[in-house]
Amino acid sequence: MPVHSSIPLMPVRHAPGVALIVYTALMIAVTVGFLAYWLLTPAERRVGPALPMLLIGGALSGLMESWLDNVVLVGYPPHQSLPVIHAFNRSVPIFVPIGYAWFCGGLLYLVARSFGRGITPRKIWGLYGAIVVVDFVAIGLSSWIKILQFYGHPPMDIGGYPLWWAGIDGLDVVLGGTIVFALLHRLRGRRQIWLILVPSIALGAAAGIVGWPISTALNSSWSTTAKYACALASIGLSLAVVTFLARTLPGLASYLHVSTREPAHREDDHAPPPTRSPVGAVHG
Amino acid sequence: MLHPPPVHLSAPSTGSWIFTVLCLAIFVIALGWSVARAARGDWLALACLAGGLIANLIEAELDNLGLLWFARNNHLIVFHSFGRFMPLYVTLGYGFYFGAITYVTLDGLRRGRGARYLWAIYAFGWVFDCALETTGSAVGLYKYYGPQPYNIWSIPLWWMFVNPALPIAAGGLFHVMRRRLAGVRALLVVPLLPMCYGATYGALAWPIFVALNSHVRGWVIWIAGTVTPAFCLLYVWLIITGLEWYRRAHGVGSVPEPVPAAPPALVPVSS
Repeated sequence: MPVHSSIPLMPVRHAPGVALIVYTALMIAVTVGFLAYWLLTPAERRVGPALPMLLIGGALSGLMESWLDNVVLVGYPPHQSLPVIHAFNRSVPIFVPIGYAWFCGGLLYLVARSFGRGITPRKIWGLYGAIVVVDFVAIGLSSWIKILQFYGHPPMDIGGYPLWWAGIDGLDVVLGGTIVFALLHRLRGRRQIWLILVPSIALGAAAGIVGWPISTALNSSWSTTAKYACALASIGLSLAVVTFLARTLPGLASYLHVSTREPAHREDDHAPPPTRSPVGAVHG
Repeated sequence: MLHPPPVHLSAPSTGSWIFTVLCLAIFVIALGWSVARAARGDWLALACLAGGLIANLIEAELDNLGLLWFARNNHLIVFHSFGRFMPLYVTLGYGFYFGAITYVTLDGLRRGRGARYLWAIYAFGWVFDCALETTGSAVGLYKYYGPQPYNIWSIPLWWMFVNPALPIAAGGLFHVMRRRLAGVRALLVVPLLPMCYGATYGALAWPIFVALNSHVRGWVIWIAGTVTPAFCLLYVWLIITGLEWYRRAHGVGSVPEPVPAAPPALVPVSS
């Protein structure tokens, strides 16, 4: 038996040059839009450099694309006109880290800020649904113009976009947004540099939680029925975690709200020294 | 392929049997202990064991990413995925290593154990994993290939930092969720444990996974092989700190909780 007979081979094809440039320009425009939003909105700048840090962290998390693609079978044309990261025997186009900046970084910030205005289960599900739609358009578009391809006969393929992919990306943004929401209560000013780590951790965690049933099925020569069952399992895992978050986050938000009513040490004022929360944690 | 696996690796038949029997013996001990706990009304130990077994499904993917190859002629192959052949001893190892140690972590937390205990479990997991994997590798049952950093005794040590992080993460999560896992809902642990395992690997090991499979210089791989253990220690520290914070906030563990858990009907279930 050939060694990798259960792993479908990545198809090799030519890169559509114009489509690649147009899509890259679109990703740049959206990322710059996030940055401009931060620069031009005083309320956001008062939060600190969180959004720029998350955009950087999101771009860095683009390094993970190759291993995700390796396990869920996403391929790119091997020869492209734009600079690429080459890993896992695939050439990842430059639009990936740029797109990751806003999707895996910027969206986390928007979710966290939305949570800051109040959290209800309805809002969490609404955000999850909105992210799925954004993902469908962003990833679907790249698939439709043939600069990216899901191969290996993935189940639930709708116009080049396999629905289970939404389970990974939807959870990534909601989970990452939750982490950012919690950390924004603890990190002020320059300490927000730690947020750079969040996008890759959230993406890795979401992919690890959700992706293993479908990635195992895709790489095991299993029947179409088994692939569909595993795709449903992956989606189910994503929905289960969001259900858990929807039940627990309102309580967490209440706790954080109570604990941060105490005077918090800020760099830009003359507030009293760091105080301790009821549980002994230092703010500031 | 950047680093082709050592497909011609041949496991010695006797060695494969002995290692399988060794893992089976440890698993049987863990199973017996779990059944004894179940007889006292605490089903979480059995659920953790089952969750550990299921988590083994992820191993083939991780081997693909982290460059580990099990000889194809190992005895008692359980499944075939990612072009790899998974022997029974790996499945059993997942049961007692990830399942049983997760339960020990959970049990300690229920008894009010603190940070020192959790770090001791992490250290034990590190040493135990290293001893077990070194043995199997020395026998020639599997091989870590490619430019593995910190490759001592034919085992890349970065891997040893990731594995024991899972029992700490999962044990901590199950402790915080304990009222949601009362009664028959203890079965939720079975899918939750592989989810925690996937999350832990995805969040912590990606730097070394990407570096090992990229056309980069050796020092980049060594940096990635350093960053991943650093991530692991930070992750475990954050979890242990969070659990201490949780304990102080909720007074959990200041008075050891009854073990086994109270009958489900007496346990308030929050929604």
